[in-house]
Amino acid sequence: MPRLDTNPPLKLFRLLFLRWLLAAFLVFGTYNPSGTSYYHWVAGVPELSPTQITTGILLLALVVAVLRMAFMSTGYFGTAALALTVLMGILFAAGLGLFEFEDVSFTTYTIEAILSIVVGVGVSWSFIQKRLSGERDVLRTPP
Amino acid sequence: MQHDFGALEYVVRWLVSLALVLGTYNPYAMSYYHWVSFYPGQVPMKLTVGVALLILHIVAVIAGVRSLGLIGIGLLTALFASTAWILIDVKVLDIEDPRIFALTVLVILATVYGVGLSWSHLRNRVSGQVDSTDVTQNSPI
Repeated sequence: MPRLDTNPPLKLFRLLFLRWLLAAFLVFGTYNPSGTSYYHWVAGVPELSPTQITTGILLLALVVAVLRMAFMSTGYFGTAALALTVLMGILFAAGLGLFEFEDVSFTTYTIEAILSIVVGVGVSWSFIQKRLSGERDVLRTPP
Repeated sequence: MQHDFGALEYVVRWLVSLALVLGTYNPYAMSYYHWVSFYPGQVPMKLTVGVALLILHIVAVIAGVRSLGLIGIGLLTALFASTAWILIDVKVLDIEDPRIFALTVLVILATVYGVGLSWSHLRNRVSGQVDSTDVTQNSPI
């Protein structure tokens, strides 16, 4: 039986990478500017096929579940802090001279990448907090 | 990891839910409902089996309501219903037959039971969050 009070070491990279992949799949799968996304699949179709509706409901259910997990563990403060950290990372890289600050442009790809990082870290955060401080995120019955 | 909730664990829950739902009622005349309705006698055994089935249904429904919530149950029902719609559209399912229609509805119900029993485990595996129920106050669910 699993015990609630064990505290095994985390494979941090694997943890963050897998959850970031999940978040990126959802964010970029719903919409991205390249033309291959759920949005482009259903936009402009005169009548939705059952497959498109089913995929839409599946995507909606996954987005609701994942966003709720991410937001429940980080909250308003954590979401703001994560977004700021990513933006400051860009600023820091520009300050190190990796690229010119004028070259930074916020395209849809950049914003979606930032969003997927925020959601991915948000989904992983409960594990990190449990490993750090032993505090678990506990949910009550949802509405 | 001591504790992983994988595909096998989900399949087990789904099969148990299917057995529970279809054992209670199915359109092919081999169910608890038909036993009670059409075969006289054996009253104590019917009563015991009926109470056992009722308990199992309550456990499954409460687990689903606790872990998924009404929003989750609604989304899942919509998902499985539209999956059935795909199958109808490609002519795998023929719901002109009322028995097939009833079977489809029951399988959808059993699948929602199965996901309801699994979702707390899945959430814990994906995000590390633990579902809990506050039993200090006597909550209805």
